[in-house]
This record gives sequence, structure tokens and C-alpha cells, in this order.
Amino acid sequence: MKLLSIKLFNFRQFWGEVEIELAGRSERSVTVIHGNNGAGKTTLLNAFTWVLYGQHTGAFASPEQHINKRAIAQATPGQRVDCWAEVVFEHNGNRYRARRSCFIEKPQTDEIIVEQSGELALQINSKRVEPPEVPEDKIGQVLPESLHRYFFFDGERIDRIVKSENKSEISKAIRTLLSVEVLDRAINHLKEAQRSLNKELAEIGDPETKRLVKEQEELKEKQKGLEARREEIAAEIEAYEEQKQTVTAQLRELDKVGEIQARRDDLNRQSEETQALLARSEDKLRRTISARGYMVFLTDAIAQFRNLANDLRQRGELPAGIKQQFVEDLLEDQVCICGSELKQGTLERQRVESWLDRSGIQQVEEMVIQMGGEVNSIERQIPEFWAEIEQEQSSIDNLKRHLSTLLDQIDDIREQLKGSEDVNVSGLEKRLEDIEANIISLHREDENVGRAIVECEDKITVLKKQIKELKAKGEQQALIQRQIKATDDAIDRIGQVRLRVDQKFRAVLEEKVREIFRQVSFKTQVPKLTENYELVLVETLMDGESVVAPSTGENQILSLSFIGSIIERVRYWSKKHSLIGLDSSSFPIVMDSPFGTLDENYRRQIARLIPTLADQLVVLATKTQWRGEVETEMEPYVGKEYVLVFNSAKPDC
Amino acid sequence: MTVDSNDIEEPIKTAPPEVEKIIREVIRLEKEHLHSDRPRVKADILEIIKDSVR
Repeated sequence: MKLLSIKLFNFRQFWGEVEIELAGRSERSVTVIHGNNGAGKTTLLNAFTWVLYGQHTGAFASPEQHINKRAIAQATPGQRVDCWAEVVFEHNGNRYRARRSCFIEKPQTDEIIVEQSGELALQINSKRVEPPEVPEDKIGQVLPESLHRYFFFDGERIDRIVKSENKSEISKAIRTLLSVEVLDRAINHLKEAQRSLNKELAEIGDPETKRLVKEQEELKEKQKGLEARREEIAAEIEAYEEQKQTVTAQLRELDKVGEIQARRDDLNRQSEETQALLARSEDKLRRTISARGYMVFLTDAIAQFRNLANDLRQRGELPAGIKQQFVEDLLEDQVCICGSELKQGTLERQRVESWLDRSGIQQVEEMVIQMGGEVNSIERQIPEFWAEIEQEQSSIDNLKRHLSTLLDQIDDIREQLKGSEDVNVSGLEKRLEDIEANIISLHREDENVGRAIVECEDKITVLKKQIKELKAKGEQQALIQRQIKATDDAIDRIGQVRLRVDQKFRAVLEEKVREIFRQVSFKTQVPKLTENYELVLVETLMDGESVVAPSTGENQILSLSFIGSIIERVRYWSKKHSLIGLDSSSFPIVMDSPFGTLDENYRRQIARLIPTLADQLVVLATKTQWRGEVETEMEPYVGKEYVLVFNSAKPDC
Repeated sequence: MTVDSNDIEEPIKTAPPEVEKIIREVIRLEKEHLHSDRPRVKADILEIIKDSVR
């Protein structure tokens, strides 16, 4: 998507028609629009989002009013007053002209005016998009609505993008940008189609096939229900966790118990750390046992081996004493070491040949030596293994004791707070207890549901196999079975691609966000993309990673790093992976009040980075936001520059 | 589980022709409807499968 121009007509502060052409040359792709407060910068940003998505940003006051007040005032009663905004852009070689308009008919009296319509009209290459095609769908195909806030944003509020309450939104955005969403949907919809094919098969199939297919369908329905419940559980847990944080914060703020809550926070932190250590120790114990536990059961086998070797030695078969190769060489040369000739058929040759059988024991000897070494090594390792197990066991016991003490202390605090005479305190504590109980019960339910899903999957796999094995009856049945098989293969292959995307794209995107974040921030914390595609800031401590709560400034940097890296990576992937990548490989950024409340150093770093990452940049700024380091860094990229001038009706203005 | 993810689209490129056709067309369809939260594509997908495997 490359923005070419925006045109406004009677839109908010903009009376009459105003057109702004936007810079788009690759080396000078920045458009700067200067304006004092109230001159219309936020209005311009909102003109973009209103035209394209019918949306407004948080800072846009009275979003239901678009029509210029002066135009209304100048109209005569009963006259129609129009307002529109038009965005022209290019995408994949096509030219889009999107115009959203609204109007009023000026009333005769002072009654409240309600704007009519707000409809979007779209032309692609001068051809109007007509029903049944929908203009909104066409825009959505260029840049989905769910992603627009990452490309058209208010710099002062940019930190909200990565705040914890928005993590599911950002997770969805990342999934969309990385094509995970497309792949997941493809898998789900193919499964649905497969169910329809199965139904068809059941209708024309024999009674046994029908029965198995029916059973399979019931299981799939059950599984679907369980998966839906699992999603609900996750959402419920997230909501309870948020409530927990709120209640904990409220307790922390109460004078009387603030200190106790701080102590509890500390105990909770210690308890989490101890649980992590415990999990690590238990895992180590498991791994040690599964890797070397077999050794302790080998004592009998070792003794048996030694008996066998001793027997061979006592019988004089070991050591072999003569090498097979040596006997073979004598027979080949047909001369013995004593000088006798070893011609075919002679007695001497027969005697030497008889040594061949005996010399064969040499391989046994080598094996006995090799195994003897291994057996000795195993015997040496058995005490080491027990020592390690005991040490780990004792470490687990200690950790469990420590954890139990911590949990007792946490319980004591709970009892103390619940028994508080202050109703606020006891009420909040009771609430916290209920929330935690709900979280635990939901986690338990989640585990049960997870197990039930796996059981369903296993049963479905067995049924699938049985259905496949049933001989297809008739051509139609065979065709449907082929279609089902091909769909199965398609689902499996898309799943494999999904796994590759997950492993590669996520890691590369995370690395890019880190790289950009590191260039800007001087802190040791680094961004991390979790398995659920949530963006968090983590700090590496002695005992592992810990998620940190970033400041507003850090959130702003994190958001901008995220947007910058997404643009850079998606551009790269879309070109390289034409099938699964997004159709857009070029993204604009339109930012109002850039860099929010960042200090000078951060502003400089971000101002240096953003023009190199975004394909096109529109900056809406006041003098103070632009001058200095921002201007110095961005100036080489500026292709067009405008000043918004507000013509006030006030005489002394 | 680890995979050789050097070529992300390899499982699609190595699929039998009819399966590859299904995958390509389904992904194209899903991309077209990505902006919609609940796309109604079930019938179209069924048609893709039936067209690809005759």
C-alpha cells in the first residue's frame, strides 16, 4: 500500500476542499505536516482511518461530528451540506480511490443535527466497486482493519499497543502479519469441508461405514466443543489474572497493609522462583533416570558376561593366540613357517587349515575386550548415578520444604488480612482468595479438558484408519474417499508449514524486534515473543528469565520497535514466500505527535530508524515535536513538507 | 520437534498435484477473506476440493 494523496472537503477544521499530495519516492518518502495545536493534525490522521475503516483514534473528540461548522453556518435552512474525505493509494500496480462521505440537511430551527450516512465509495483503476462486491472488503484485502492501528497511530498513545490488556489484540495482529492466521483458518475450514465429505460418504456408504463415520463425526463435534471450552477457560483465566492484579494493587495502596502486601509480593516472587527451581530439579531427575537408570538393572547381566568370559579363558579358547589373517596368509603363500609346502590335498595343509577355525575365536576375543571395557565403565558409573540421584532428591526435598515454608507464610498473611478489622482490607483479601481459587479451579479444568481432547484425537485416529480400511463401494464412494484423503494430506501439509512458520518466522521476528530495541534502548531488558505471540519485555537473571513491567517510555520504544520490525520482516517474507505471505509488501506509517513523551536521546534514535524501516512515512507534528534531533535525523528523507494554518474567526487572533 | 525449515513452503511444493492445488486455492481464498472475522468460505472450499480431485 502506497499512499498518494488525501483530499478533504468540509471535514472538521478543513473548510472547502484541501488536497495534500504525499511523498512516495523511495529515497525521499517522508511527508511532514506541521501544525500548531488545533490546526488539524489529529483530524488528518483520523481522515485516513475514517475513510479506510470508518474508525477514529482515541484522541479524536466528538467522533460523530465530521462536517465543518463554518460550512453549516453558511448554509441556508433546508440546504444540504456535504462533507467527504478521499484517500488515493496504489497497491500491487492498481490505483485505489476511496471516498467516505456524509451530509446533513440544515434544519429550520436549532434542533440537534445528526449526520447522515458515512458511506464508503471505492474505485479501482477508475472502475467503481459495485454490489455484490463490497468496498470495505477490498480495502480489508489490502490492509486488514485489525492491523490498521499499527500503521496509523497517535504517537502519544503508542505505548498502549503493547500494554498487557491489549496482548490478545497484538497477538492476533502478529499472527495475521506472519500468516499464521491464514494457515490456521485454512486448516479449520478444510476440516469443516472434510466433515461435509464424510457426511456425503455416510449417506452413500454401507451400514458399517455409516456407523463409523457417524461415530467419528460425534467425536469431532465433542472435540470442537472441548476446544471451544479451552479457549473460554484461557480467556477466563486472563480476566481473573487481571482482576488479581487490580486487587493486589489496591491492597498495596492501602496505608495499613501496604507493607504486608509488599512482603507478600516478595514471598510470592520467591515462591514462583522456588517452584521454577523445583520444576528444573524434577526435570533433571527425570532426565538422569531416563538416560542412565537402566544401568542399575544390569548387575546380573554383567555377572553373566564375566562368567562366560572366564569359562572361555579356562577352556583355553581365550586369548586366541593366533590371528586368522596369519593363517590365511600361510595358505595363500602355500608355505608354512617351518618351510613345509602347503599344497592342496597335503596333510600339512589340512593341519594348517584346521587352525582357521580356532583363529576365528579372535573376533570373540576382541568383543570380550571391548565389552569388558564397557562393563567396567558401567560399573563405575552406577555409584555416580546413585550419588547424583540422591543429590537431586535431596535438593528437591529442600526446595519442597522451602516452598512449604513460603506458602505457610503466604497463608499466614492471608489469614491476617482476612481477619483485619478494616472491612476494606478483609473484603479485598476475601475477593483475592476467591479469584485465586477460581484460577486454580480453571487450571484444573483446563488440564482435564486437554486430556479429553487428546482422548478424542486418539479415538478419531483409530476410526479414521478403520474407515480407510473399509473397501470403497462404487465409483462415487471411491471418489469421495480420494477427496477426503487429499484433504487430509492438505491439512497435514499446511500444519507442517504452520510449524515451520512458527519456528522460523517467530524467532526471526523476535530477533529483529530485539535488534531494533537494542539500538534504541540502553536498558538490559529485551523483547520476547511468547509461544502465544504475545510481546513482552524480559530481563535475564541468574536463575532464568523474568517478565518485567515496562515504563510508558519503554512501552513506546517497544511499540515502535515492533512496528518497525514487522514492516521490515513482512516485506521480506511477502517477497520470498509469495503463497503464504501477505499480498502487501509495502506499508506506510502515518503518525501523529511522534515519539510521545520520549526524551531527547530516544527521540533521536527512533527518528533515525523509522524512515529506514517504513516504506513511506507521514509525520504530523508541532514545532516542538519536530525541531532539533527529529528534524536533523529525518530531514534527508523528507520529500514533501506542509504547514497547516488555522484561520480563526476571532478578530484579535 | 525440530524441522528443516529452510524452505517454509516445501511441504506444499512437494505435495501431489491435486493436493497442492487444494492448498494453493484454499490459502488464496483465506487471504482474500482475512479481513473478515467469520468468513463464509465452507462451500467455496468444498468446491475447491471437488474441482481438484475428480
